Amino acid sequence: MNILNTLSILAAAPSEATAIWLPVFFWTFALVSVLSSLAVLVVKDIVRCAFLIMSSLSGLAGLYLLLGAEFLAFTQIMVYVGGILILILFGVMLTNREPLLIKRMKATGLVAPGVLAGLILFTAIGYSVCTVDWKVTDQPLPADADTPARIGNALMSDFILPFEMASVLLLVALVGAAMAARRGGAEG
Amino acid sequence: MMTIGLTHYLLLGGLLFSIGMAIIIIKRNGVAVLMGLELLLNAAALNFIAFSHYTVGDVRGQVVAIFIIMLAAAEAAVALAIVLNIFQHFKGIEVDEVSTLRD
Repeated sequence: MNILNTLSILAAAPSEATAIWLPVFFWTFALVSVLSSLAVLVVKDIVRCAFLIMSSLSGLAGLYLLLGAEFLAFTQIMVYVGGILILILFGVMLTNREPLLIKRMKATGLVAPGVLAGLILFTAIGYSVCTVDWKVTDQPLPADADTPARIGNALMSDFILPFEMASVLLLVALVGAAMAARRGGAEG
Repeated sequence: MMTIGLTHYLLLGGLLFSIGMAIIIIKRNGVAVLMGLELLLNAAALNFIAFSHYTVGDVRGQVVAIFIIMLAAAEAAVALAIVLNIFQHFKGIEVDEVSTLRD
């Protein structure tokens, strides 16, 4: 836990001595997530894709730490790496006919349009990001700001309606998923 | 190296969003398409957190990111149930072979 605390404090209040490490951590985490998501594009094995996505999402969790959002970083790891990835692996194994390790995805058909769409999208986003003059605040959250407590307060005051609707949505989605996944579908 | 600012995080979010988009278009396996979708949602969440840190100085953006993670969980559960149904019906999950909603 100590190193994680150090990470978020380092990000929130960079002093002269620690400021040099911030770019190092940023570029490490950014490279991890970008390279592993790029690898998903070329890797044929679906199980390897799942683990590459996991690595990409873990890199994003590190970036959340750098942004002073330690609660979100651990939520990210618990929900994605612990929950959604397991769900995806279940999906992979339930939809395979051949033994898992030799399962390859079929040849892909839309490589050129996909790469083109990605490039155009990135050019558009990059252009708009670089041309807008973002108003950066001069009062960021202090390093010892108790973000989990602040998030709890925000959820119970300003965001109470979305919070309750989220609980209803989760209930409906999980019951619906259980219904739909039954053998024979909804009418079975 | 230069200082890390808001623009770095926004560009990174845009790059991850574009990669996720390309994964959705290129992959034919339904589960792999879902992975691209998760990447899209995470790129959006990264933007929210970066804005929350750099331009607001508050936790509002982090709360929105929590809602995004919650939506992603619900979406993954429902989508995988649909993928299982597609697999039983079409004997495969190649998304370009699924052209009808029912018989």
